[in-house]
Amino acid sequence: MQMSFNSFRFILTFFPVFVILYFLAAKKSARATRLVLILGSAVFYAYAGWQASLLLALSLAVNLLLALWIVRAQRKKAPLVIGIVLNLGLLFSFKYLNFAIGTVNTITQGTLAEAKLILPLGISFFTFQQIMYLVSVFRGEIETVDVGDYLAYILYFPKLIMGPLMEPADFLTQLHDDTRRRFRWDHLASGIKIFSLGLFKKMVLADTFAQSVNWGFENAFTGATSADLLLTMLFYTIQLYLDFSGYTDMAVGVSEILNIRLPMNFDSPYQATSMRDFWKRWHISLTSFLTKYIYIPLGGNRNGAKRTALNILLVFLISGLWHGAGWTFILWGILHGLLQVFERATRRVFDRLPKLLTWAYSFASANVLWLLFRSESIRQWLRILKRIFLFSDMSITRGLYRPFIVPETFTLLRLLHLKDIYQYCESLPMLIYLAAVLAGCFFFPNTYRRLEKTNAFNMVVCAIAFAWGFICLGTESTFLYFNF
Amino acid sequence: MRKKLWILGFLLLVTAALAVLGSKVVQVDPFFHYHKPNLDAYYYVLNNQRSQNDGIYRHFDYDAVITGSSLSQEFKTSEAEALFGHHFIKTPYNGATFWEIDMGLRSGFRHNKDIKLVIRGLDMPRLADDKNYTRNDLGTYPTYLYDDNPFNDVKYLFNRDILFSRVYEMEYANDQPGFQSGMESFDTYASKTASSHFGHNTVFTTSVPLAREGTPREMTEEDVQRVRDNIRQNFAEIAIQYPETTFYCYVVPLSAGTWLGWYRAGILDFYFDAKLIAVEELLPLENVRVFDFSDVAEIACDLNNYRDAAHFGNWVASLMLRWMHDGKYELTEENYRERIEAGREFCKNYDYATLKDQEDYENDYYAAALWREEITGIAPRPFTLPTEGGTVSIGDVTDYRYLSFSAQKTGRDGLHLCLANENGEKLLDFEKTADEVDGEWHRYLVDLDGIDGAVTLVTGGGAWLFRDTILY
Repeated sequence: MQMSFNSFRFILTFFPVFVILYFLAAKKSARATRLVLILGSAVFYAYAGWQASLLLALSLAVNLLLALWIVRAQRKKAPLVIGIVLNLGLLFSFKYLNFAIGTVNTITQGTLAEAKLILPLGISFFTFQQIMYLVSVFRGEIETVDVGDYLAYILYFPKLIMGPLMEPADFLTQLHDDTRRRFRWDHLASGIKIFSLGLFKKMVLADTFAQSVNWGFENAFTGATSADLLLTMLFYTIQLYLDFSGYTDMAVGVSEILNIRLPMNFDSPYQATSMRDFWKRWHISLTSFLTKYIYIPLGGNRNGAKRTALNILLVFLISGLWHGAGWTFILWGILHGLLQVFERATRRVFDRLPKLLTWAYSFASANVLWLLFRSESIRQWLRILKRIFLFSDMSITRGLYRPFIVPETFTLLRLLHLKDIYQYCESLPMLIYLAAVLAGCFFFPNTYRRLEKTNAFNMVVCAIAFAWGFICLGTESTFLYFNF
Repeated sequence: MRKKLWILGFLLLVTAALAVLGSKVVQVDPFFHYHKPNLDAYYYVLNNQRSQNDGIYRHFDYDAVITGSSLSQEFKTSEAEALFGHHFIKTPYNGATFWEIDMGLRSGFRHNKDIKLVIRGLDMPRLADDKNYTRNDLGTYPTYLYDDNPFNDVKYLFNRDILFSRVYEMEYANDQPGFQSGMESFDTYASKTASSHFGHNTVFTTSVPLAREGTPREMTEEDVQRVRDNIRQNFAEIAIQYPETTFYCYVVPLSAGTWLGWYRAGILDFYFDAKLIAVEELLPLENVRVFDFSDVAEIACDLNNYRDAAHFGNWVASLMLRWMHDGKYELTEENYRERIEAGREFCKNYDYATLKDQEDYENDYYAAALWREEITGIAPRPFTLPTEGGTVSIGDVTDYRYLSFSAQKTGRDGLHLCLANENGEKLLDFEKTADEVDGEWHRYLVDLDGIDGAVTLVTGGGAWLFRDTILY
């Protein structure tokens, strides 16, 4: 079973042992440090299984040879193009082949068999990192291809599985910085701080919203009301952010302790006042990648409005495809692209509108499009939207708010003397969750921006967050006893 | 704030919080992983077999075990103790294979060298399983509870569900007025009798299928070996390893509905062949006694004994215990072939169409009452309970063990029944609060064990309707 940051194995065993070995090696030499990093990252990934490990090893070997070839060929384009094609080919084979087969079958009424493939862990991320490395070599940002540097960059476990995508030069500069080989208490404090908050976001918040979202989708056409579906849409918007940003926070925290600063990936995206602004705050490293490696090489905004619009649409189409193999993702990307184009075209008017209005438009757009992202099909998305906007029944079903009645609910309600209110308002836990999360999303400053700030208040908050997230790592095994 | 101080403060707070939480789990220990239940301080519910059975094996005081799949869930350890004289525990594993049950039992023997008697089911549908087969479709096994590795106990000690759904709720209950500490009885552990309906309409929710024989499945050499290996590893080995312990292996009476299903699937002969092989493996073992209740037609053919095609009411389990004690329906080297073949022929030739017209008793306990009459000669006695509060004299209850009735709440108040003797002294209280009950009909069973002589029954509380009231 794969290793993840939110696990007992990682928090209590792997990471403490790794940190000790890492800084012991750091005392010896830069080479030793790098070796520990590579081996530790390999062990981290190896939990994903031998097939995934073998594939990653193959990708590493091929890309290393390609990088060396680029240097040997004095940075001619051919090896770079071949490298990009090979990497995208690998990604296509595993991620998109069955989607392509399914689409061909639908169009031609054919019966081509789908391939039996298991998607290797993190393939979308490490493929893009490989491409970034090859391009950096090509552009001379990396002058010499060092095997150890290359392996450390690709394998670096805090970002290997789910990013953030990091510029090779940025990573390697930090890796070669001798001052960063010394253990630092301030980095340990920042790392623990952001890791704790990430763990809380993922385990206490995101996973709870996820259960409610699952209920909403399972009952979308068999009992969920308009209000239920409206909340399901909102809850998914929240779940996705908390899950992804929570994971990223943990990655940043882990890396911070190792003295390597990962780039910011989320900057309070639901405070965005336009969709252009949204994509500067959501999955920032992906936006940077798409801008630097696709949008700008296509010409960016240098060739007139029409070409700019086309470039934007293409970039978002690729973004949609990268996120998943399906028509929902393609449409999601296209619609985001269209909103970008629309805002650009109406900029003069748009930028003068009240911020509250543009914020509401941005948040609503994000919600509706995340719903598409989650839906099994475009048809399902449209049907759900129709049910929502008919406003036919605005009562909230117990199944939707039941997941918020978590095991600690009654203990907390008693402590807060709210047990009596709960008797009349069973959805109270859901309301508390929602209010707290929305307050955090809309009004609180971004965690990453306050990484170095440590005081007594956030010490207590982080301790509670960590302890609470930690106990959520274990659940009681439940069995299908009722069938017997 | 200085970073080192921040880190120290953080670590102290986290360590303190986790230490408090973890120590609470150790103190209460709802899964008995570290110690016996603290029966003076808490009330322990038994409702998670895979999490609690291992702890029961490890820490409880016992010298006899009733174990098996869900087909063992209705046994009452109090009855077993009265019959066999040992101190019993019950460890059912719903849906389990023989391998899993055997693993549990081996854990018992590892931690308790005094086990004298084991009563375990020999379920026909599981005979042809691979010897190491285990059900991974039921859920995730808490293997961290089964080993002696203290490090993976973190999954138990720092577990939100266990902490808040069990430990803190048990602590909270402790502080409530009227709290009574203790533990759920093994008699009711995993039992579904009280919450189930029995009879033809429950076993066959639509119509009784036609008795058309399916293409027979042949017992191949591989099947034969698989059955042998399954029984040798998961039944015989442990009996050989512990020759001082007596093992009672029983074949349960599955309903005629099950036979019909096998017949239509063409696997009736297959399972009887498997039973032959299994019994042949066990009979030579001196400390193993094999009982076959599957051919007791009076039970299997009366669907009022069943809540589905396989699962019977607790009165059937009571009967089996009594029969095992009396040596009734035991298989021996001399009779096993004849018995099993007679059972096979009976199942093949039974007129399944008659199941259609079986009476489905209104009172699900009526079948139990009839069996009790069969054994004790005491016929069930119906009477009427007064609605909206009242008193009724129900006479001498010495010969009766249970009061069974159905009731429906029609008002706002809970149900309160009180039994008093001739002198007006309260003998028994039976209560259900208004929150516990909805407005539907439900069946209730009151255990009259230990109550003798003439009694009066008083019903208190608001509007309730009663029906199907019997003493048996």
